[in-house]
Amino acid sequence: MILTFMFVAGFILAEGKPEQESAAGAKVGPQYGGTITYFNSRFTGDPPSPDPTLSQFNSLPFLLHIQEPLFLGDMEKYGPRGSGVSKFQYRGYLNPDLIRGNLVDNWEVTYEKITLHVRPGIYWQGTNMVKKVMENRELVAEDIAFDILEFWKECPWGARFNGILKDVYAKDKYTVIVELETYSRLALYYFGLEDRSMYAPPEMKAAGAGKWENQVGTGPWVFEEYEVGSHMSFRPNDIYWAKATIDGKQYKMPFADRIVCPIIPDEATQVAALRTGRIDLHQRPPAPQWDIIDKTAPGIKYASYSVSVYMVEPQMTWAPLDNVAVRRALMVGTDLRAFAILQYSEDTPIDVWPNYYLDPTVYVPLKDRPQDIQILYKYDTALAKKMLADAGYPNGLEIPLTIQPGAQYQDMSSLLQDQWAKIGVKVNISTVDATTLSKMQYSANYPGIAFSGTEMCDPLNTLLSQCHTKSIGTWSNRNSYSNPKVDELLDKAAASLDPVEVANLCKQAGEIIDREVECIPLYGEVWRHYWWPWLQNYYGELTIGDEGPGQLMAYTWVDQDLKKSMGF
Amino acid sequence: MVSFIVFWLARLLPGDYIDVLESASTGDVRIDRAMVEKNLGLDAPAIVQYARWMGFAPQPGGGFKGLFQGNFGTSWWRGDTVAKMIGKSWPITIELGVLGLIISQLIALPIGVYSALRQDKIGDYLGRSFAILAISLPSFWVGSMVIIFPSIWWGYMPPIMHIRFIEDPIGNLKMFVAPAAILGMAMCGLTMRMTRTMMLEVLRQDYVRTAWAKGLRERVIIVRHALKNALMPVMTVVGIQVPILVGGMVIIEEIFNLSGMGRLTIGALLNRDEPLTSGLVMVFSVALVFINLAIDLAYSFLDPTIRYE
Repeated sequence: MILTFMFVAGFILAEGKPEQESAAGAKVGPQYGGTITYFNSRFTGDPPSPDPTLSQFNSLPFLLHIQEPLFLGDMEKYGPRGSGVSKFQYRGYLNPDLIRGNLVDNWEVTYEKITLHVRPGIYWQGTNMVKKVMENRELVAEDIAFDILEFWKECPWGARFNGILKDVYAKDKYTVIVELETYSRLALYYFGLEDRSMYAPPEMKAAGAGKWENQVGTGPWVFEEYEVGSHMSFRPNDIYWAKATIDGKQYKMPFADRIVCPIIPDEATQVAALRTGRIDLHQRPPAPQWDIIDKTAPGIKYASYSVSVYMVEPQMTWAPLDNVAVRRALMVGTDLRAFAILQYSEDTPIDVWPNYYLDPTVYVPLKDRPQDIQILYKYDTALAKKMLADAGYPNGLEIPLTIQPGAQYQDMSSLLQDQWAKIGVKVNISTVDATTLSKMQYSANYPGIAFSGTEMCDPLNTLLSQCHTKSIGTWSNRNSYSNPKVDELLDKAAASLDPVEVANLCKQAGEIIDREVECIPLYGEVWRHYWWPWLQNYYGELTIGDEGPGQLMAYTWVDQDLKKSMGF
Repeated sequence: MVSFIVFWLARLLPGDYIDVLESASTGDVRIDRAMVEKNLGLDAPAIVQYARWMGFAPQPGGGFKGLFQGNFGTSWWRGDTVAKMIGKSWPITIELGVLGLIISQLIALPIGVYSALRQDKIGDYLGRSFAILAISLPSFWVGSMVIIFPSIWWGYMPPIMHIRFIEDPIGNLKMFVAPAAILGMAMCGLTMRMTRTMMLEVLRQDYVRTAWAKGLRERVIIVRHALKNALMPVMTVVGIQVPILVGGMVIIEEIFNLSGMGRLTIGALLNRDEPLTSGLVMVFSVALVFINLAIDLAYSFLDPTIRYE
């Protein structure tokens, strides 16, 4: 009785929601005004310091409202509103054919250098809603050069440019020269599109780049406030240079009056916020929540896509997983389809690795792969036992598996344990926290196996980071995979300017990697993101940069009448 | 002593802040560990780091800036000073804790007294059943149910973004009423049972029987004579529950999106943010000492025969 009283009392104090009417998304032209509140999976905790020399990954989804990269995906030309060639549902490396210049309006690439032509007429917005950090002034080549050099020399991740960059300088007011030590097709991506390629003015460094209230940039928004543990918000940049083209007409951007990025650690709270319209867009609610969202939020839209593969990674330095025959036997003894169903990814095919099924330039369907590879993907416990016996383990073996806490990992580890028990392999599961697991994985000598995921947006980038000897001990090549022939193929591809050659080399390397069972690819991970129909000019894109939809929100507006009519 | 234990405990956790930095990135190149260690002063021996944190040794940039100088250091993760971060979060925790405590006492004391007065009758059974329910139901489960089901049934959920009390007191209360009620419910079960037990004992005392015989009104007997004496052990139970309250607040703050010290502590631990972890544990330790002191002093208010010299 007391509980009921407390609930009722709480609700009396709260605002209720009127009965929701069913909504048909009326197509309307651009509208100015309103607030967009969106949630990104990175918003589960307070962001780290925004200091560019730290370039902490989790601060970037907030920073990208204020600061911009050199390139962006050309969603107006190639996206759902344009030719429809791409849905811009990718993460990481974007196909260069889909890119447009952003802070640069054109560029040239040779083996010796990259020449960037800065777009004239872009201005730093020196004042945010808290303070004036600097005078408004034009973006010039010196600023770009300064930022690249700062990242290279002062950021803990700057080592990625070692051996690639030789020098960076401004040739004139609008031309930046990036001299290359060694050509790398990824260099342009790293400082032009990747999540850390946000450009900030030198004056901000002098003012104190580690403070959110000192953040300024050329982007569509300016910093408004950061309430710790609650939200960060932004207001329009009134001197923003870019325009949106809608039905042939140009419009000043952004459209909304305010962007709010709430910080919500709890999954149930995130979903409740989506359901009640407190957030307009949720990127990646957990898969087990999809069903209940569909049922309890009538009228909500969603987009499904797959950009990564989840896998079991056997540690190559740990016997007997260094034995190819053992790895092949384990893969035959794994029911891949069961994992896909478990993780709500039953619509993706099983042959998602090593070249992704959504990339026709490199994808080789399973039926076209050699026979000795095809058998790996067919679940057969009897064959798996025989293969293990032939490999010298007729009585099976024990393999440790280390996971982090979380329902997803517990479910998958239990399933794997059950499946491999049928082929005589005992999986010993131990659970450690995420940081400890990460440390083990970065040391590249964890015992047994571990789960991991990898993004599949660029075939060469994926294979280089996951399967090249040079990348052992980095995020993707945790399991110490190394094959000189694969290295040779990938090095050749990395040095090539011919996309057809690159694709063929990736296919050749992929065949070796597949045959050797560098990993057991469990399923192509399906993500969904949900949004309410009052968010207009948004078609379910994931990003046009590298991380999150922040840049997209400048093109998006709120149909406030529709929102009211839906009862929100 | 506390500072020594706190400092070393934080460093016993497997993995360090640099591992967190690396795990937060999916880059294909290793972080320059030596650079980060130098920037954070982690290249010095641990005992030197402790001395710097305490303020006994100078910082790499010069000057003494440690606990002895009133400086808790700077958060590695966020770059803000630890004092500033704690300063922003403790009012939320205090508000949640105080409201929770008030609600728990408002529920537990009347029910406990009523149960004692109606011993072995329907009212007593209901009261005791409620107490068992309150003790058994995990607050994190109740919290999740309060978030999930109202959002499905009525399209309602408490505000997800912080509203300052001075800006909008009603809005601020809307944020806190549900989580405080859940915390209060979690505490009230034990308090109610202790109140009932102590009331039963006190009601059997000779002086209470004398009061009844003198014809005093029931309310006077209960409130002025019996309850005041019964509250002494209840205060002890409340004091024991405060640390448990702090633990419960961590989960409730996560679920209801309150940026209090509990949530800050979780973040500090997960991010291996040693200055912030050490600072928070120090603050919690000192706070608990003062809370227990306050409870001890409260005894003298309840029992005039107790005087501290």
